[in-house]
Amino acid sequence: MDANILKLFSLKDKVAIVTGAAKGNGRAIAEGFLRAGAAVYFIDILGKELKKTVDQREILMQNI
Amino acid sequence: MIADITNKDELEKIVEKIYKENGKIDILVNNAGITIGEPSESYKEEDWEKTYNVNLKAPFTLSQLVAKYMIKQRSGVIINIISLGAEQGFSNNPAYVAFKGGLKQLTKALAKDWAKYNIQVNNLGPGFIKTDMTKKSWNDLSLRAERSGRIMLDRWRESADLVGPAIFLASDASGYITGQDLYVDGGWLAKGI
Repeated sequence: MDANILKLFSLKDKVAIVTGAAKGNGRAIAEGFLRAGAAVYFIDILGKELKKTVDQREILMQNI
Repeated sequence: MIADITNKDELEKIVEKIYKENGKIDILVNNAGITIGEPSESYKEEDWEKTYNVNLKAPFTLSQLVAKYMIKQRSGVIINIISLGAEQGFSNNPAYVAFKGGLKQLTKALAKDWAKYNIQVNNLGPGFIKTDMTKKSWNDLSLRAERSGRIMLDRWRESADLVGPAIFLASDASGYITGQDLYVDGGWLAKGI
């Protein structure tokens, strides 16, 4: 099969919103979307946890 | 972005900002949820309403706000995070079970109404996992054994187990799937004796 088949799973150029993204399931999904190429908006009411997650997200982005 | 998803004005501003920054919104994951455990016979009205506001009303409001743009662009994916509680009765949490069941059905209603705009709406259902929300049942050995006995695969789910299925539902790979429930539960719901 075409090697490009994996492109089907790419989120490159997609814009995503994930609620409850500061920790747990939401965070895992949001970071997964980032790794798959999407621009991801992390939404959460937990300001402190969210800041920590987003700070680490910048490290994650540099590693991609 | 810090936001209270039960505040519609806040959500409206955020969604508008995101749209303005990008010219589109492709994917919404309604994941935020709360659980307040109390026996049904003494469940507090305020906790019922609080659970409703976060677990069912907010996903609907946010879906509506995002759909405004998805309808315009004639594409979009909405993923609602449901729960085993959308299928089965769990103890001492009537609001959680009721509104996860409601969210599961909301997905089908939105899938039906917005299919004509090429918007897919699906449910992603996590099984038991070690998060802050389930820490109590993990730390209690008898509760843990009770739950482990229901899972086919020999481990509790990790957060990472949700990532592949979420990417699948968000990506073009699942372009013909809408109104579906995908459970990432290690076989919990399918298990017989």
